[in-house]
Amino acid sequence: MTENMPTVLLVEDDPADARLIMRAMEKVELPARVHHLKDGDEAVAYLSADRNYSDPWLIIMDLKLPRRSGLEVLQWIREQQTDLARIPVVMLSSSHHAVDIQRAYEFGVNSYLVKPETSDQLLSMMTLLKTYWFYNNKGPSLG
Amino acid sequence: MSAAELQHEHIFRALVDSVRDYAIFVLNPSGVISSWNPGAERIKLYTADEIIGKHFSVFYPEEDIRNGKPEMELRVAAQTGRFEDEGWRVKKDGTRFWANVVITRILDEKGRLLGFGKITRDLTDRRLADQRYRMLVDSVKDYSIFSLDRNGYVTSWNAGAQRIKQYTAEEIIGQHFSRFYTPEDAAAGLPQKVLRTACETGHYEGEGWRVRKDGTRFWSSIVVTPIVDESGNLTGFSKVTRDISDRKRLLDELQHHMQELEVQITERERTNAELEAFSYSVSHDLRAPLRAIEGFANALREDFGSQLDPRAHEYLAQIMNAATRMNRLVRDLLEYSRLGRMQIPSQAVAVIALVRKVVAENFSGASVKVVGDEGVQASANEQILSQLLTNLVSNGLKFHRPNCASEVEIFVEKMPEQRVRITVKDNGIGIAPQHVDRVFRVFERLHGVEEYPGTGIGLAIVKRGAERMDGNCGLESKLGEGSSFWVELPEARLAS
Repeated sequence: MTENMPTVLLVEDDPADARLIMRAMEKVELPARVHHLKDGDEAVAYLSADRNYSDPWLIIMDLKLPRRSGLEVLQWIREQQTDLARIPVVMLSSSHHAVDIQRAYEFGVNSYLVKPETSDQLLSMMTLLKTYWFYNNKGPSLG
Repeated sequence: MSAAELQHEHIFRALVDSVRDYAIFVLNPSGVISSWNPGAERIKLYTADEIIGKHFSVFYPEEDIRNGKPEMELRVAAQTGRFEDEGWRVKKDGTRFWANVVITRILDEKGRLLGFGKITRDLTDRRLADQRYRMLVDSVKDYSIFSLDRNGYVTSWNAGAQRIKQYTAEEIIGQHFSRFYTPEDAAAGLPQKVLRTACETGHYEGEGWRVRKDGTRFWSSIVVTPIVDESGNLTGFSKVTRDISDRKRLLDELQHHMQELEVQITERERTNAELEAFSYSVSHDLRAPLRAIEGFANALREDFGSQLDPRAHEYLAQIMNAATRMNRLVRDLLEYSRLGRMQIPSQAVAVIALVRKVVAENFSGASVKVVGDEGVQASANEQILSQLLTNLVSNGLKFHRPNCASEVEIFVEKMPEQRVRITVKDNGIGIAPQHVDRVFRVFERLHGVEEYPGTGIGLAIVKRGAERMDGNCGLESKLGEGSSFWVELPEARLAS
């Protein structure tokens, strides 16, 4: 079963945040294999590698990342001439700065979410995420 | 004498007799008076009968007679044809008057001396006026007053000029006035420009550096006026100079202080901006570990709760409680910092409607009464005003007296000078007068967290928010009876 599950890329440098997000994903039974990467360079390397498996179904990415920021990775993705350019990207950031939010949308993010303060809120967010990206939105590569 | 000559003589006689402002009379070659006109009588008080046949030296003061002045005058007139003089003369009653005297030689056809014509004018009044003017000018010490001829050479000099410029009259009269200018100004032709401007516009006024005799400079205010004679020809200039170095120094100092102040303000603004940015990022970065503490404590309870005993559960609750409190603190700090940095656009806000909305959304279960004029509109930012109201009301509800239910009343009223006041009155514990000034400061808490929970930032947010909306805030309180916190905002002007 897990063999056929799509991949979700989680790009998050804070290990605690990453652990809690992944726990919340497990709790809401996100129908995906979660692959955790720790910075922007890792994300670009992963995506540009010659793979014999399919592209990630969804990328959940922090805005402030070491070496290459979330915005830079996003820009790189949208510049690709392949299907990569159409992967949905959700920005999950602790910043609720209007400037950050606006720039993320200008760079072509599909959704911008502010990291919740409590576990309960994180759980609700993951539930919404699952419902939207895995049930409501069939996406191009599933069709 | 021909008839024509007789008639001419007659007309001439009538003319002389009709002149009243000039004494006109004739002397024989030795100075004896042989004719007299009404002007002479008026000025010198002698009648024709009294004076004709007398020597004209009776008009002179004794010292002049002793010095042989009358004879000298006749001698000069006989030799040169004319003698003119100004000086004291004596009237019949012994009083003196200041006279302008012209003595003209009269010759016959063969060039023999027939006598002298003498014309005398009484200039006493004019001399007095001149003298008074002179005394006035001389007595002025604070202003340098002097005159220049048409080419800019000094022709008179007063005491003030000496005091300010240090030259004595003897030293400077006859010198060109450009020596009062700095070498730079002189080289640039400023002195000539000053005179030209005065000529062309009838006036020159200016301020600038001038040089004293000892080479030191002073900041002066000068006025130059051209002097013209009766027919409008330029005869010279009058120049009034004031030493306003003290004023200039004060002005310079003031300007210097203002510049320093501006530098300080700029520095402070930069420091403030850095501080704001710092506190923002601190608040921001503090949240990441907080999320971890709360998240893992929660995970521990959810995933391993069954394996923990009650004491472990209590510890976990303490951890989560502390995390929640700190989260609130960081959120308030962030809000406070954001209020200082962000742009706050204001618009007309219907105050009562907003108050009701805030109460309905946040305090539906509490006893909150709203009173006031429905039509009052304030110029405010709706989001921030909501935040202020929320903080004030929760503050009012929180600090209730033990065993006494909280009651809050909100009044909205118009104030003088187009202000709107929102008062949040509670029946709580009140604030002692000595603490009133402290409550709006960040992190000021008058009570322990156990007694009344809170971050100590809520009222600081109220103050900063009010100020950012061009308003202010304050409070009245009585210990043990309750407090009234108020916020005043500009009234929104109705678009006309």
